[in-house]
Amino acid sequence: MKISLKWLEKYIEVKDFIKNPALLAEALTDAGLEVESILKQSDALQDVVVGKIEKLIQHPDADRLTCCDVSVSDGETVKIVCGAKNHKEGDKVCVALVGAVLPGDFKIKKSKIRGQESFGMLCSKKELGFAEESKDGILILPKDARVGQEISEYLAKDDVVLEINVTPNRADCLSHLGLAREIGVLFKRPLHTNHEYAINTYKKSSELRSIKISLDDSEQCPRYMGCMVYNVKVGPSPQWLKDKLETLGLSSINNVVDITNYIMMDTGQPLHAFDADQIKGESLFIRRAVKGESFKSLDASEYKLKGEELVIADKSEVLALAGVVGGQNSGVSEKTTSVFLEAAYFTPETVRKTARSFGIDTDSAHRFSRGVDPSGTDKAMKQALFLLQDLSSGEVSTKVYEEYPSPVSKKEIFVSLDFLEKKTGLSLESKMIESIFDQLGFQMSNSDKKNEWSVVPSLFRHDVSIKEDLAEEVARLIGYNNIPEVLPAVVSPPQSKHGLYENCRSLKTQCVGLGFSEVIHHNFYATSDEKKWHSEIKKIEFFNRGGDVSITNPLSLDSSLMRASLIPQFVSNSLRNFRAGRFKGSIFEFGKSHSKVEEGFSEKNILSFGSWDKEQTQDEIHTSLISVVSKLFNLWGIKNFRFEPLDKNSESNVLHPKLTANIIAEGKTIGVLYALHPAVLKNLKLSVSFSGLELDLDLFLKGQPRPKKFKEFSRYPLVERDFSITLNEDFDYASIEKQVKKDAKNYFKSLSVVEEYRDSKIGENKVSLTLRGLFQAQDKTLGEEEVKVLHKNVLQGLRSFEEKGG
Amino acid sequence: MLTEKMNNLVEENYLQARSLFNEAKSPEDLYQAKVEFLGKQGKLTSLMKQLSGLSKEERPLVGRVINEKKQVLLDFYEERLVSLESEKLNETLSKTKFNFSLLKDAESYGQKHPITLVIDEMVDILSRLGFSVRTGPHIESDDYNFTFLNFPKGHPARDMQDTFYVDSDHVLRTHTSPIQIRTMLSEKPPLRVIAPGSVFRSDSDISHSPNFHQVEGLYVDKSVSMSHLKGIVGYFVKELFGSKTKTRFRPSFFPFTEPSAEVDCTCPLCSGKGCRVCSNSGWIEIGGCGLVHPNVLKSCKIDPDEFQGLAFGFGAERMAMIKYGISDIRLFNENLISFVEQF
Repeated sequence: MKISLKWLEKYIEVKDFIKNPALLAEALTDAGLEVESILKQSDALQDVVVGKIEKLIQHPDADRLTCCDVSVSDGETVKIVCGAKNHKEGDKVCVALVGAVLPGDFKIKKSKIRGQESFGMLCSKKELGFAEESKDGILILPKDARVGQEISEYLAKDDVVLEINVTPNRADCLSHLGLAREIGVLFKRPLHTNHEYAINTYKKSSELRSIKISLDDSEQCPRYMGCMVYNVKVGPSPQWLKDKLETLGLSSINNVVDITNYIMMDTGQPLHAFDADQIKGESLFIRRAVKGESFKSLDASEYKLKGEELVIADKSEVLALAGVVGGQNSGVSEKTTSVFLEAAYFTPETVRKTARSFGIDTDSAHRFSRGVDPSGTDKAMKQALFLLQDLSSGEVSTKVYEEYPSPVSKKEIFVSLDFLEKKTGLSLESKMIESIFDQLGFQMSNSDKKNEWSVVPSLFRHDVSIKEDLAEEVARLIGYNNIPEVLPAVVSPPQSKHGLYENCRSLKTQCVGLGFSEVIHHNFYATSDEKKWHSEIKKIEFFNRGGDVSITNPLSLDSSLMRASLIPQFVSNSLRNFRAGRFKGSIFEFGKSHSKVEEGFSEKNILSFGSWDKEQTQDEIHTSLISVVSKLFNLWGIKNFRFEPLDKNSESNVLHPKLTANIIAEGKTIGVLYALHPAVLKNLKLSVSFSGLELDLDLFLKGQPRPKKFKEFSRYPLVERDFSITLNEDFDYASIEKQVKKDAKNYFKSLSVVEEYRDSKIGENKVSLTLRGLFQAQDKTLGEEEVKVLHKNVLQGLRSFEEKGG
Repeated sequence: MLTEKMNNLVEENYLQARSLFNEAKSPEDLYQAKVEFLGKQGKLTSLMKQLSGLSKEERPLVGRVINEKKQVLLDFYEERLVSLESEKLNETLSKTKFNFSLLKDAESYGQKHPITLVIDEMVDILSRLGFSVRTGPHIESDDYNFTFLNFPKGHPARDMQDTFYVDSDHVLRTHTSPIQIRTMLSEKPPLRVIAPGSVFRSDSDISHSPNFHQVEGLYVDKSVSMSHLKGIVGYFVKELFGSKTKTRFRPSFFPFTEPSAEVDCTCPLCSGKGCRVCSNSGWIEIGGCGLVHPNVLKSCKIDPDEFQGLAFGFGAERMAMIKYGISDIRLFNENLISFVEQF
């Protein structure tokens, strides 16, 4: 909300703040009305002067540009290239000279446009900050403007405009009257509201057409006022009104519409002007819409009504959605000669509902849905009628209709000194509290109990209805910054710890130690590729946890799908990193897999790893990832795990058909080890080896951390023996190890492969392995003889494997 | 006569051995020399065998001389060995070279994401005040995300948060506050919980992410005041940004708290002097807080006359941006290793 300080002067003394707006801004911000920017018009328009276009020629190299010689002071002429179309030689214009800084921190510099030098800019209203948009091109000033005069001086732009972020609870501050009232409270200054609006009612009006009001729903519309204005001349607004609206960034439309906008910005009361000649019949109905009724708004959008909306209608059709938007059928146009002016109090609930269900956001709906002042309807009406009479030579009917069957009131709130002290943490005095309520204009009396009051807040304070609200008002006016900081004395017992968080934290530290860096992606995909990969990956059983979860109103079509696996993002990530020069990288992420299941939405915790390296072979990087799995599983005490290649039925064209395997731990599939399908890498033009691993974290962490128990260990020497065997390529290492374990009996310590050798001499699809066994007895040093026997037995076992081929 | 000859022979061998020991250049040479004179077949050892040519009386005398000389030589051998070995070691050491300037590879270690680092730090700070972590799902019912938090259906306050919907009743949570509701419904007060997590708003630019992180604290007990709120938040900010950091509270509006406040702290980058990050104001907005609205307590079956609460929430990205001087929020989701490894 933009607030003009000069406008505020209508209601309150603010001369000091026009000189020093920062002081006011700070006080408002401290009171909860955050001032986002301060615009001093004179500052903003420094080095912007009146100029005259002495000579205008077409730009030699650009059809849309002109080169102007513009005189900007006695004897000084500058060259300016301009892209507008509405200027001609002899026009007086606004010239931003080199060095000027226009609103939006737009610095004017000397420049070269298509080869032509330009020493400034001819400005439009928008560029000067007077309008949100400017359709008319640059601003052409009247002929009598004096060349060289500062624009701020010429246009009397000496206002200060504050941009205030008004929170939804403070609708009462969405007007100049409302803000003046707040400043009055904060600075204890009197408010001037006794303006005279003398209306000469039109004597002959009783003979003319009148419109009756039929209020069918006083619950949703507690107060409705309407009045006819005859012989209206619709035309441009006077300069002062245009200027007022321009200061707030509003465009002038015509005098009637401008008056309703002005009153809204002045008092906070939205008004609506109907073209009375378009109202059929004798009455206006304020009623609920009938289901299926149609309505065309001022901007020609069509709506099918659902039957709950509050509407203003004549006998045949809907003329307006109450408080939201007027209809095209009854809007004020240049042909309008009589106006029916509406001022009403529609409840926030009804306006909210209508505005929301059709997605319409107007200034009127914005205010009604946050709450306008039900006691201000008549005052706004009176001022508007006065202006219509004054500025559109309208003649006001003697009859002002009003329906206000049961005046809106606020419930009294009981609040005690003790409560206020307890809430704020301050020690307070009765007198102080009373003066604060008084300052706020709340009605207050002592209740039966000592140090307790009954308080009735002002009608426009929709945000004050319970005692906690009063506590906030007290704290706010004393100043939040005057409340001391006190740490509570904690005596209650602590709550249980969060196992998942703690476990993940340890896991993350371990992942980092294993050389992986953490990434955190969004929970939805970002590209069409990722969505495509997602559906491919879901063909694999492990990843298919249910239906897809989609956002119904995504930022873009590509980012509509919630992720079920982190793999698609890992592929994109490695590509992104690779292109940024990371030819080798290792990443991990803790995330959620989203899916739709019968009971609703399912969120599974998952942990993903990914590694890529330009230098390593696919086998090498796969093997190193397997060692990461082993290390992690060992750290968390998971002993039995193995990899089970996917069966043919569950292949996808994203993951490598041969290098992808389920990870089975303690009988359950808890993850998948994968490499990318060569076709994917080829499509991405990514010449790198990539391996990944995704774990179901909930399964992995089940029963974690596992209890640890000490086991006696041997202190006797280890014996090391190497064995060489030749096997088929597809040998099963686990069963070899099992055999060695069996043959070495209690002396088995470990077995590892120290060398693999392949050569056509040993046969096709054959591999020669050198295995290293470590043996140790629990209770003695192994003697030479025992080792000999041991070696023989193990070798024999291995030979039998060799004979079988592995 | 023979004795004298023998003695001379012993002396001669002794002197020869001694000079050989002296001349030895390495422990190996020395050992050779030792074997030559003192080994089983050694020259001095073999003199013992010649004692048989002596008389009974002379034998022990000469034998003793031989043994004495052998002992002296053995001692000398040890002495020489120590000195030769130390010479050898010195020589090896003098030849050993190591170029420390080449130690540059730190790649074997990864790093946690800055958001994790900041969240963990925030959790740690509040843990010291007795807060425990609680979490909740990303997809929340409209009730938990809004209605129970005193955002009635259609209330304009809902417009403060651009909401993603997954169906007519479910949203991607717009804040971590539904975790407050879940905690209050499932656990008995007094409560002290901290809820970190991923949240969603349909907004995306240099300072807004559609999926960012919040850390939210909830404290429910029998007597909770604005003063406690300021105490806890003040402590939290000092721990996170340094003991000299000051906080400022401004009245604000959140449907689920009353009174409500927005929290600013003195800009940690310029210590409040004014810089680009704080738009020269010296203050920087870091989060929202307030006393839990009685309607929220009531919707969680907690009697607001018996218990009160305070709640506060901070954006993790914002904290990380302030703490590490990051100016573009999109870097967090871009997840380049060159970014992550810096923290």
